[in-house]
Amino acid sequence: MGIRLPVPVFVALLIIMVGGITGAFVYGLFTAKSGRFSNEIFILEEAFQQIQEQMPFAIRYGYVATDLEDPVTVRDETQIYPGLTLITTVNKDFETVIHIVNDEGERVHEWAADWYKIWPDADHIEDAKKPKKRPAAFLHGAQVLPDHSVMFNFEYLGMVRLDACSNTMWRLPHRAHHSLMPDGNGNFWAGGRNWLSAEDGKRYPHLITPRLVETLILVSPEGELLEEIPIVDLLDDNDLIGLMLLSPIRNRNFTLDANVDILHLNDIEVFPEDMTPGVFGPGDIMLSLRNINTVLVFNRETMRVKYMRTGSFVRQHDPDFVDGNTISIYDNHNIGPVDGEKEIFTRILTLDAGTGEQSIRFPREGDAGFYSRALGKHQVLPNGNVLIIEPREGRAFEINNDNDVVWEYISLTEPGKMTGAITEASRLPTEFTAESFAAARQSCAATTSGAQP
Amino acid sequence: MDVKVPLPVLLALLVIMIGAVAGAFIYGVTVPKTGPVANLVFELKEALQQTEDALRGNNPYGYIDSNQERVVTVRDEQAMQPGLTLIAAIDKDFNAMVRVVSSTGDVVQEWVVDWYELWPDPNHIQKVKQPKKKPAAFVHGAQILADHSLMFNFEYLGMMRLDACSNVMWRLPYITHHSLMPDGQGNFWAGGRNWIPEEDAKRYPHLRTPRLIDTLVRVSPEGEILETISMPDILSENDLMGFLFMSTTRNFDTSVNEGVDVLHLNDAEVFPEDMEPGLFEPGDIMLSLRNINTIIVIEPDTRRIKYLRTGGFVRQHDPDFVDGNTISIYDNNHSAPEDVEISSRIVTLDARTDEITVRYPTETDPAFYSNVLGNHQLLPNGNILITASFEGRALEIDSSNKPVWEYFNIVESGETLGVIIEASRLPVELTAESFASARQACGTP
Repeated sequence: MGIRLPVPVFVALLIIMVGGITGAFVYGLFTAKSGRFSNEIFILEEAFQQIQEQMPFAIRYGYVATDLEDPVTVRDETQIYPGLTLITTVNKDFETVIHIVNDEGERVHEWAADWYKIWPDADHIEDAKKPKKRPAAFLHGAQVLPDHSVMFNFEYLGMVRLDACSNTMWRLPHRAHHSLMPDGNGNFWAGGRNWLSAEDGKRYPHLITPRLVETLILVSPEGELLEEIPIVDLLDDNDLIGLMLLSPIRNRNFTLDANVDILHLNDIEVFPEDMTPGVFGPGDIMLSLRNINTVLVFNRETMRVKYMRTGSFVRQHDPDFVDGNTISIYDNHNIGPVDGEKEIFTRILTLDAGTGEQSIRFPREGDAGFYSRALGKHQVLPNGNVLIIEPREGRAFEINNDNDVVWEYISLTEPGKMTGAITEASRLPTEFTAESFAAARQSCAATTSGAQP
Repeated sequence: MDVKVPLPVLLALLVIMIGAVAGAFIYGVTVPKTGPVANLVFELKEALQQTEDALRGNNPYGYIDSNQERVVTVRDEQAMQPGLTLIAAIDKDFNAMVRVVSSTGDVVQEWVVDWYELWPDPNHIQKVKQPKKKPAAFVHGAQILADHSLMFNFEYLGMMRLDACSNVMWRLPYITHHSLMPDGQGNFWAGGRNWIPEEDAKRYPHLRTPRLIDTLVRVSPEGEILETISMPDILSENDLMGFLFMSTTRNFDTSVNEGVDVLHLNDAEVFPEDMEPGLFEPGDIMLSLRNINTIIVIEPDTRRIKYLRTGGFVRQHDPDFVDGNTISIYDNNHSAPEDVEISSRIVTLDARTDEITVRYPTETDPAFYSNVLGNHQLLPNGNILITASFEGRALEIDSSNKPVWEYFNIVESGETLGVIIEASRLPVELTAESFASARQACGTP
């Protein structure tokens, strides 16, 4: 059976078909430009990703195969800086967890921090942006408080505080992200993200709305949002509007699609009260803006940007004040595709803000390199040692002043099988001990039902 | 005659067609971010834009609607800086031209710089990048030499020198662009563009190749290249690799497509020999990198970047040394879509304190705007000559910001203006008479 079509009709059909395909392509181009279907595109991309991950032998993002049985591979007791270590990672069920380990790798405490259990009703997140699978979101900015509770961000989803028994004390329904840092007055600064206000929309006409922009949020230990500062306003008030306009390279149409992450705030650091001031002093706050390779320091009182450094690092994380004039930076140095071969290394940089000079602290010639395209943290310890993470490899390692590795810990989701990504490692003050955590667990188990051991 | 199509085939064709349409749509959506065909897409978008312009009766790029009828609208001879004015612009035949005008707007010298006549055989340019229509390219960096000849860049095509009668003295088949600036030793610095060499491509793995990169070239008045400096190299030698990574915001993959103009060098400025040094000294070269809103000052001998400023301006052009510590910048302030009212600005930057002040317009001055292009010239008497390129206008203001001269590049009186790429006041030694005698010497009266 068939249909007889006159030749002109057949040709016309062919032309319509070609025209339709071209038209769809062109429509697609302009749609992408307008950002109209960005949510749908996002879902589509996620779906492709999931299909890829379901393929046989595929390993989920954040996991790497290993035959290692023991999590601690290097341990030089005389040189390790004292204290327990906090590790945020994932377990074999793809749940996010926070572990406290001793230098032998024994787990002395654990918080179960699974998004789906803690926040089954996240109405503050649009459906398209709600997590679709475990691990819902990496944990960032974990801070252990004196009562042995923990405060942290589910990346771009919200902030929570859990007691030592993993009971939820409060949840802050705000898209908090990355850093969480004591402000010196008992509260905490964190990265936030909020809808650009109508007023600011007018102030920054190149930013296509509705759009989320980055903010600094001040949060009390009780989970109240005390203050919110849009970073775009901080930049504009300091005559630095040009920093918001670095990503487009078009000649004329200069607007930025709603989903373009122009700054990517990934750290907030407060100048410590007990540090000797220099170029920097008490009241100074340091920000890291990853997508524009910029670190800047502003003063909380004056809201003036007093120091800024751009371009000396590529996709950096976690700048820390070392003293009044010196900053240490986790420079991811993501300068290109590596395709399995590690020719590119992440670096720990030391930047002298007084002279503008910078030097590489680690790795120096002869040191074994490490690499992280995205993510990364380091902690400069009081004795000069540095605790560094290599996130995707699930590795945390401590180096001494000679850059010798004195401790190395691998987050094993299943010994001999798989490692899980580490998003943060930090050495805790020595007041925190296995015993103090046990006591804290006992006191919350006594007051709540359903507590975990 | 009929074509017999079996039903299953017809159905299959339909399914394929729907699939292809959906596929084409998805491809269209995703290609600008990731596709290796981003260049082609760019060309396609340009072509679509041109088609849209033609259908809507929009002006071609380089012409502007205007009811302006007079060439010179303001003229205060007493307050003006004396001298003829050079105007590089687009003329009524949609050609690139350079003309020299008096304060009354009379043309005392003109070069018609028709690319197709002057450079019929541009073998140094890839076929796809060769101009297809008028004006082939804007004229940038026009410099008049002592013999009244003209040296300039055809934007991203090449450099050339014409005598006063428009005869070609030489052509430099190297992609040059924007600025052309005396180096103080009889030669010139210009913006260049070169294919990234193999070994450099390895150093910058995120720059997908084949790719052109911005260079700085030193050219003799005879048209020889004396020196080439690669911009990525200068940045990486100064531990500033991060500046090559501003145009991508993806999380993991920081690589950029071949056509992405990561820096966009648009000016090279030499510290004048006769200026009192401060932070800056004779020999220093200031560069403007438009796409990263950055100005840098380098010592060419050591290749050290001694000063750098980012983000205090948006898509700036033409920074000039005011004195040993101060820089004046044409800040296009291209921070809004075209339908939003906004002003470009002339700003002064104190390099010691990093402080920026707006010199023009202050609150009471009328705004000017050019989203792209733009030039300004600080004149010896304290006046400033401002080129508002996409207003087809050159404006001279005195030190109290009062307009003392205003010139329009009229293409069709009461209808259309032509873009002015640059206007500059010439030294008083150059006169109508001196141009006339130069023309006589080369053969055209």
